[in-house]
Amino acid sequence: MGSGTFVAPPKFVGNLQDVYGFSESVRLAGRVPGSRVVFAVIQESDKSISRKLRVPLGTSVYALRRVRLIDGIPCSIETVFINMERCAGIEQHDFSREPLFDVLRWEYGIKAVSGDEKISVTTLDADEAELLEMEEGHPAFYKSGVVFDENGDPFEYYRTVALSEYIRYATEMTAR
Amino acid sequence: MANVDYKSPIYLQLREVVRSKIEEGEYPPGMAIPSENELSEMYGVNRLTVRNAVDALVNEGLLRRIQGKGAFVVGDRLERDLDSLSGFRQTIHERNAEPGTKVLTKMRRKAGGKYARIFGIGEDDDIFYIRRLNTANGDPVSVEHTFIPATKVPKLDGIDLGVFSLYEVYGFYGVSPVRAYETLDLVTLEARDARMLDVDPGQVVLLFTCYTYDKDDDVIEYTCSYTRGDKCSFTVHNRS
Repeated sequence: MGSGTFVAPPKFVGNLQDVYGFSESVRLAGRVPGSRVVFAVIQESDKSISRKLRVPLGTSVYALRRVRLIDGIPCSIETVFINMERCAGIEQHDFSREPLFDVLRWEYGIKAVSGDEKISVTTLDADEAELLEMEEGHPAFYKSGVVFDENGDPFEYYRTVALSEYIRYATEMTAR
Repeated sequence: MANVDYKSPIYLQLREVVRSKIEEGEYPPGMAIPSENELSEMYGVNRLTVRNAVDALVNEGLLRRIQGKGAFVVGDRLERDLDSLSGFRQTIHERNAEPGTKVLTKMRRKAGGKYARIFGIGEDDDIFYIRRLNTANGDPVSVEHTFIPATKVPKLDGIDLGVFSLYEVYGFYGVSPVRAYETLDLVTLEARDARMLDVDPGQVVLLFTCYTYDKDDDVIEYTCSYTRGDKCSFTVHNRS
């Protein structure tokens, strides 16, 4: 306020029960998804990742960090850690173009059937602020969680920092 | 409770009197029955007898006794509780924190434009507005604003929300939540709510918004809850 009036685009509603990945959800909302890869590396799992993926310390994991864009605006930074044993060769893909969700599903046959997510408040550090074109210390959602396949095995652990200016999280509950 | 007659112990006879008044609706669900003193005077029996009669109904689950407040009629329960289903669940960071709720405001008011639209009612129709402060170990965690159309729960005025949860009250009045749509945003607080939550004005908090629908797809409750991000987070469990 005080700096003039402008019309903000409606927030993208990220439905947490969606069976789609980010790109598909954004497209279904009539918006244009985009991704910039910040890094994509094979690394050894540390204690925290090992626990989440239920693998021994030092297991090979694929670490992928992307800035997610909606209509060209950087809205979130998503970092995923995937158990490489489940998807050898995944590093060959260009995830600025291909949806990770589709590659896991159709190339590796990994189907996400359940997950636990936790959402809290954080503030952007210097790197995050630069990637999201915001001030350092700006408040944001912090969302983390583990995704499980149909056997109940965890295959992906993610940490997302998202700007509430552009994204709203939603769930819908129905009585059985 | 079979065959209580005039020869039965007096506390059993009183128990059946109170039971039939509950069943006939003279003592409606959510309301307090007369105090022990009043019952003792009404029927000319001593207080110990009253206490035994009321105890029996408390044990049956027909009454709920609250220290210092009296005995309240428990109505029908909801078979399904949306709380038990998936959706955002608030988790307090501190371990073993004792949760508490304080009702700050409970009033009947005109819906006005915004809530008339949300509930699909007239601007001059009545709604209930409830403002509650939720605490953990006495520290403020969230301020919750709840709006309910008066047509759905007409007797809400008389019900002590320190005794019954809103879900229990819905059950008493046959209002059955079947669906809820919930969202999370980050917002800054206005001065009054900031003071209530003991945070600096301008500090960002989690805004949890929930629309609850009944089987006719009417909105029966609209809730906005401003929650301190340093005190809690929200979790969701998904299964497709």
